[in-house]
Amino acid sequence: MSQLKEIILPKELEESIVVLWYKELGEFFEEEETLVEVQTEKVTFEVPAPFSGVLSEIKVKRGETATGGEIIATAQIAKTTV
Amino acid sequence: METIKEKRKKLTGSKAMIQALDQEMSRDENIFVMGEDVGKYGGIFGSTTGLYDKFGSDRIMDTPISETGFIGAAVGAAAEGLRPVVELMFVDFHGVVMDQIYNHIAKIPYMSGGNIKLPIVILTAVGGGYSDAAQHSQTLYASFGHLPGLKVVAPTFPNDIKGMLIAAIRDDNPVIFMFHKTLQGLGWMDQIDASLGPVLEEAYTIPLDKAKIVREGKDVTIVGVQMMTVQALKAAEKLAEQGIDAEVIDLRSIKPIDKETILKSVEKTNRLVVVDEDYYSYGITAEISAIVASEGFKDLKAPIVRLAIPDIPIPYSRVLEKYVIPDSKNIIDSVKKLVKL
Repeated sequence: MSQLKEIILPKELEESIVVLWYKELGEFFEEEETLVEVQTEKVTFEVPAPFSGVLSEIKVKRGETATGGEIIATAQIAKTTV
Repeated sequence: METIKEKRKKLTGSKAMIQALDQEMSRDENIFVMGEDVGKYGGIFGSTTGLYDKFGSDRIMDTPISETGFIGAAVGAAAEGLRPVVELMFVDFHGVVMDQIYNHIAKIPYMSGGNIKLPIVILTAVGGGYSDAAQHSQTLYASFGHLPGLKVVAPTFPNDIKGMLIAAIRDDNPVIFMFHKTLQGLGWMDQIDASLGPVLEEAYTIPLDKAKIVREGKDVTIVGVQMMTVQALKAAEKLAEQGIDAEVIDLRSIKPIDKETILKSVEKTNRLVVVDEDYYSYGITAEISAIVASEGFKDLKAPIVRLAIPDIPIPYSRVLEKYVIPDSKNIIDSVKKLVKL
């Protein structure tokens, strides 16, 4: 059974604006793959996927802002294949 | 028969440019990039982000602040067989490098009887709308369209940006590739829907001399380029609610200009509005009006409407800047008057 898990904007980031979601709803992603690009006042940062899964909800959409530690999306965890 | 499944991904204008450069540079090692802050920084409008790490400092070269120097260097490199892509950070800075562009890049292929080819792409950021004042907000489409010897393109949507950039890189002639800052989809600019769109993953080309009908209609033709195409589409949607069916043409190529697409459209709609984010006098609106007046006069049922920036430097004040750059409301007002004529 797949389980829903939150994706959090890395804590070290200041207020960031979402520039581009590399994955769409329902799309599969692998752990470490770039999920979303955000931009703070100083830098652009690519947020890597913390696990493999399928994107089920985008909470912070393109053009919206989030701060470090905030939930930006939820995803279904994929079965681990080791 | 084998069917190829086309894979498309949504990209911003900037990502579409980067993907085009990445794929072309991987294909041909003669291609390299030079410009101010194109290296580690990735271009101030995000045209080369990430490419320095992939291709290194020999192929993604940061230059001193001397446009004459590095665009001049591109002439020599291209004459010797390389394929330079150089970035003129803002089109507004063209003044300092015009001798290289107009007298060398645009003329050497002609004056050598075609013996010297200059496959140079000049990337340059254009446009206003974000309070960057008179020296950083111009488009100058017409300034480059005026002199012979250069192809000048200004795509709007990510899919066209990628395809036309690849076509520009593969072209053996010099191409001025203008990208609009607002259409790059950058985090620190206004993020508009038009700056994100589906882009084919593999490399492909789009012709450098074809306009595109981005909305079909029968009552009036609106011709725009880049942000003016976006405004025209917005206007067309509102006009449709009022029963006016507008056709919108995205010019895409400033030079050569695709007369056929425009004339054919006016033949159908009999009315024309041209909208431009460049200055009014001697600009795209004048050029297209002249083409239609000379070659499509019989099809016109009303005078042509020209919307453009008045002949003044673009104001820093947000309020005044908004006032001088044509928007969807200006287009709607003009079209409503025009269809009554």
